[in-house]
Amino acid sequence: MTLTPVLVIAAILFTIGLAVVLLRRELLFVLMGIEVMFNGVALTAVAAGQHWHTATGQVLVIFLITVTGVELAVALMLVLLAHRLLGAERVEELRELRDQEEPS
Amino acid sequence: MLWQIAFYFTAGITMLCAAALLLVRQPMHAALYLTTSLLSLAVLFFLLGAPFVAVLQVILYVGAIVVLFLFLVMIAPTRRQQRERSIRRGWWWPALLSLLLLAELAALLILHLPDATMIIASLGPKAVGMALFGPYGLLVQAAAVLLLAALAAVLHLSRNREAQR
Repeated sequence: MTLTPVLVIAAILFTIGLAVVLLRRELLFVLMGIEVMFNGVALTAVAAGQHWHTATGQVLVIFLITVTGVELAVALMLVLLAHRLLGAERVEELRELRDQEEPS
Repeated sequence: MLWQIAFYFTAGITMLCAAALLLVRQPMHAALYLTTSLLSLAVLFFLLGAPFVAVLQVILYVGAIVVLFLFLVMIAPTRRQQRERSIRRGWWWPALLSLLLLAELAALLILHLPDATMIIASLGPKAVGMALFGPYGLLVQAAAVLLLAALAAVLHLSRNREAQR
């Protein structure tokens, strides 16, 4: 077993996640694409850590999972608020950053 | 040989389930495909000799993160007419860019990496724990602070706005 196929698989996973982020317009699917990208990165970290026989790769993946959970909790709350307050589910519906009333 | 068959089979399942996210229409189906992809990735971690991370992948990703997705799918119902045209015209340009990135990554990895043989040796929870609470102990506390900040942010965002007026 060599390192290269594992890294190529991780690169394919990352690219699939990027394609999901770029092609799907729904906010929920964008978040899922980010998850798939994180998975590709985690596979790279584990493969590299196992290649050099060190636990650092696995430690990196543990922190990656923690940060992903934090990011996802806040992001899903924002998606829910966008749905509730703006009625927006897709990326192109989020264009109300400008203030509605004139500044006095 | 058996190891390689299992590895490539599981990798294929992972990539297929991730690619299915591009095509499915229902958000619940997408959450199920994502779950399958995460579980087969846990099998990949186990095959690479990282059982602790494989177990954490099941517990944290599938047990916590997918549950968050399912909560959102159940709370926010999607409007029916928008499901029909999930990928609209103009899809080929990002797809081309993604394919270019994939080709570049694969070429870089295949051409420029020394084809080092990888000896699969299991690194168990003890080694990971020694590293986690030894040299990376400060980062563990930073992660704890980050979790607390996220808790405060979600509580602030989810407070009932109508009741406060």
